[in-house]
Amino acid sequence: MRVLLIDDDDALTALLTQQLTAQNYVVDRVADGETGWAYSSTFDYDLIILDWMLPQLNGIHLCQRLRDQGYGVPILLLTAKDEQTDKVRGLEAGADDYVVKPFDIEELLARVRVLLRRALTETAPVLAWGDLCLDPISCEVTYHGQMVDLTAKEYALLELFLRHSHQVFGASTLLDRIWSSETFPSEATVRSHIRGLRRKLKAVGAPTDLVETVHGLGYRLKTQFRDLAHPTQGDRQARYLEGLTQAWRAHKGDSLERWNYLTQVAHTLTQKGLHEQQRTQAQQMAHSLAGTLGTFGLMEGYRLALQLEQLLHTTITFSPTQTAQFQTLVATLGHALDESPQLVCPLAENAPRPLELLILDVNEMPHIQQVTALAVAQGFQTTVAASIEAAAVGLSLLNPFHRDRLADPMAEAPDLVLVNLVAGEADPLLEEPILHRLLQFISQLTAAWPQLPVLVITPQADFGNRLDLIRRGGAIILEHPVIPAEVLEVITQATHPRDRLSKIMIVDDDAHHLHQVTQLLQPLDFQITPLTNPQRFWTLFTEVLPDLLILDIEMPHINGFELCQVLRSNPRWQHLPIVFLSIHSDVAKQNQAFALGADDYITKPIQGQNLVLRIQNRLKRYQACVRSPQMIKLAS
Amino acid sequence: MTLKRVLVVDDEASIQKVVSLSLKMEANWDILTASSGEEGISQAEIHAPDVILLDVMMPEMDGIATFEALCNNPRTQAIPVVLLTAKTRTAEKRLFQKIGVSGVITKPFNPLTLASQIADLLDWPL
Repeated sequence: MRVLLIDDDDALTALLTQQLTAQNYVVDRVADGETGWAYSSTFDYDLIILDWMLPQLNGIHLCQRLRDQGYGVPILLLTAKDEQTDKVRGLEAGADDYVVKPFDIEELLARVRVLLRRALTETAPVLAWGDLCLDPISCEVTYHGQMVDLTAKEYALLELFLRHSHQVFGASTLLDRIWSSETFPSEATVRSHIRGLRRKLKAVGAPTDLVETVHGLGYRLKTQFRDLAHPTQGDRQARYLEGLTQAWRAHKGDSLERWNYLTQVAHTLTQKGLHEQQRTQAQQMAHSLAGTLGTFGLMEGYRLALQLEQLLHTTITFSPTQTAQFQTLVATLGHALDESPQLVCPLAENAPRPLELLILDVNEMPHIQQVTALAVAQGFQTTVAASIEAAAVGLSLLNPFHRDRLADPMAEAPDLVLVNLVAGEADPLLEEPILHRLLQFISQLTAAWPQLPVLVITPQADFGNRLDLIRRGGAIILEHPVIPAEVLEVITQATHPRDRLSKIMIVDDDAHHLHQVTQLLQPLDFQITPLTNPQRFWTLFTEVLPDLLILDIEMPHINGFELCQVLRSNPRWQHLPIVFLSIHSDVAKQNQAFALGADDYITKPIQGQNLVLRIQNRLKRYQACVRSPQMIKLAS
Repeated sequence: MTLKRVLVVDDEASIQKVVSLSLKMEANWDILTASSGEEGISQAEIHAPDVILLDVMMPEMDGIATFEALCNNPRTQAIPVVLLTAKTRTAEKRLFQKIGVSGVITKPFNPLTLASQIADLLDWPL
């Protein structure tokens, strides 16, 4: 069970952490409301203990924000405010319980247990396997509606099998999971309880081998229709997974030791810098962790350890932002170590790699630190540079060693560079010399990688400054102040990998024109659906659901204008890009097309390059639009 | 798949175990393990495996140094070496290939196809 403790009273949090840890809770401590928000929206917790009076964002506001965002985890408000009205306010803000300081630690722990138990029972669904049902709330087991009377151990065994219905459990695993560490049962005890469980299930008409023995490995629920005569891929996987689980149990301690070392490094970073030897050793630890975790299918941990390795590799002197990033990565990694081994499809050669971000923030602003934390949590491989020189090294602009990288620039460039032009909260304007250097850097960057998206956060986003930034190559300009989550949303949109080909449907009764347009667009990796008969339009349209529609005007039976009107009359298709392609060059026809909802109007004869650019432009804007939260909401 | 003898050199006991488990289960190959470069060289001299799976980052004698020592040793220079590495950067991968290893397999590998991957790299019949 994971608990997030948000309180700025060091002595109290130390005591509470100690007490909660002694009760086997995993505790994360943060000292202000904003960090609490960042943690709670990044990690999964079972309970939040929240102080009222907090710096940056107070407990009540944080509680309200969490509830507004649909955060359902129990929240226990802890505060010195003891007025009746305060309690009401706290509970109305969304807290589940309210404890006044000073408090009795035993009472607090009891309240924590109650909240956790309540949350568990509220979320526990009935577990089913064919006709077999287990209700974790009433603890009743039925087969085909008939009650099965089980002992506590038999019940626990069955619940474990049902919760992990495809897993094989060896006797030793079952002993660990079901029996407490104070008792010393043998594997014969397991066999005896399994026999008892089978007998009781058989008595209500269940197959004897509903809990089947997998020879040499253990027990599991029997999958119906499985051909047991020959080991299937599934059997092999199950065997491998069992072996993997056993090996992980035997060796998890090594990974925990490495993680502990990295935790100490994170602590050292806040106190003083790292020696070169410490940095190298930490890098090796992170590397080994990545290898181990990846091999055991703990992919989240693998990814985080790789990022730590990368950070230690590229950073000689850690800035406060990089230190914060390191700490976030280590904390997240700690969570990832508790996952179970998985049989994953690993990163194949052609599998998508994690998206890489480079953040240049010379003033190390807190809001950029929050963007960094969010980016890391969302799986971006993030490098933070606190100086232009560090960014240039990160990009290998200055490093002659990486010549081959320059030969194939996009292969190794990050997916996006964020440049922060905000000096500070009080006075956001940068001093002229540093601003000038940063702007020069943006120009240099886009000269080296014209396709690289550069996101700029600036306090001066008036037209003139925007234009200057655009001329220098800034692709996206955000005006300060901007919420970190919004920045991340923009980053996600700008780096969103194209997961499928864009679909274009072309409707033209002239087969020659249709062929000509198809030929022009074919080399650009579009999925093209040509159609000469507009009467088949609706059937094909609803089947293909194109991302862009090209329509001729003059067609038999139904003309292009009518098709456009039909689509625009449906809210779902109001944003679909529609491009007319016509021999009519008169203004009246063009006006009519735009009045009916056309996005573009291109006259024949077709100019290849012009057509391609206009189509690409429409698609790009449409795809950015459909990914926006408003559109997602509209679509849903 | 024909019976092969594979030497796994990795300082991580857990990785040795998982690689062994995977190769045993998929191809039933004979697996030998070594926990350091030095031990790997001595095992290779004694057992003459069909392939050596070599971790890159090991303390003291790393994978590259071990590979060089294997190449300079007349008793082991003919044994193909496949590097197992968590490093994924293109430049590093190119470097590994340039030094003459038979292949590079990136961790995490697919446990259900690791044997086929090795067989593919070495052109062994399936």
